[in-house]
Amino acid sequence: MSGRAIVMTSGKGGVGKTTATANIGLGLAKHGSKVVLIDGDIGLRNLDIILGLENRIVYHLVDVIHGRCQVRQALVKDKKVPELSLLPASQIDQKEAVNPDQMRDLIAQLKEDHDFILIDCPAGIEQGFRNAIAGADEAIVITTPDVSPVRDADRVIGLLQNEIGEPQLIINRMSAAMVNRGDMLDQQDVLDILAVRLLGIIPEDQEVVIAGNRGVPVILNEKAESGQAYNRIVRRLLGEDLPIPDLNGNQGVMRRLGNLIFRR
Amino acid sequence: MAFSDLVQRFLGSNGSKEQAKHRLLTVLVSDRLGLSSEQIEALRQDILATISRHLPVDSENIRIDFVHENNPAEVVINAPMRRQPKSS
Repeated sequence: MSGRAIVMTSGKGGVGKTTATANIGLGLAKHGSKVVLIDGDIGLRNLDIILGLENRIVYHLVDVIHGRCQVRQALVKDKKVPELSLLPASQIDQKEAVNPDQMRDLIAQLKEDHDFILIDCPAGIEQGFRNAIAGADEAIVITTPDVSPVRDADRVIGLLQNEIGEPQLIINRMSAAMVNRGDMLDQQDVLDILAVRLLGIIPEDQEVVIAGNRGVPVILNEKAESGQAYNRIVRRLLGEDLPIPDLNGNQGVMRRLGNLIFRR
Repeated sequence: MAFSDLVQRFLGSNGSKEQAKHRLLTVLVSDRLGLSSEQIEALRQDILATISRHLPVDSENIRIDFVHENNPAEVVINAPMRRQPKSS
């Protein structure tokens, strides 16, 4: 087996990288792929709590890299989907505890018995970013439709083009209401600016917060719009040619016209 | 362009996203090139001077844009030619 290593990155913090990593990883595993998620944010461990696995951690990434345990001892198997496992970040070390060559070796090893290795990259473009992208074959950039995340995404896309190749883009937290009244960049605006391939759009959805509270990623909630959007992203990653529905697709022209007129 | 955009334009309404897009496209020109706006202006001036030395262009109306819609990005120089004086 030789898996695909995909780094999930954004530049800006707080746009939903970790949430996206958890959801996409879980989705891929639900479709039967063997998936390992690597929390690349050394010192600020988070992927474990989003997945509800925070009480099961024994060893972590830095332990593995420094030979204090075997990789398989550090992998935490998911409770709901056993094809998914997590390699947690260390909560006490610094980013410098790991270097890009060590990450490359570790990922090469994990590829032998996993279909997907998703690396949750820390915010920023320094050492943590360098470590997270080192072993990746592909990259996914996550942004929200706001000016500073888009600007930072652009910077990261430039770096990724040099290091890995063309990344794919996820636009997170799109609000149909704000797009409709012209107060939020829509998908075409973001693509005009960033000029990369769109992998999917996640609508703004309160269910994501609730899912985080519970430690049960929203992709497992089939009724949630955001969960459905994550599921479509997963199917696209697995090679399905699924169209990306327009966020306003369910709104007729007359209703949009009505919105515009009555708002004024 | 989406129908709602047309309607908005017709009604003269202008959501804040237009500002966002414009500001981003402007700031990304210098971000991507790693140049300050002064350096970009100097580049414009140099290109303008070079073209004017070789071609009878209308130097008032030369436009130099950095277009990022395709990869790789392109420098687009829009230089209207002056009408040549008739050679006798």
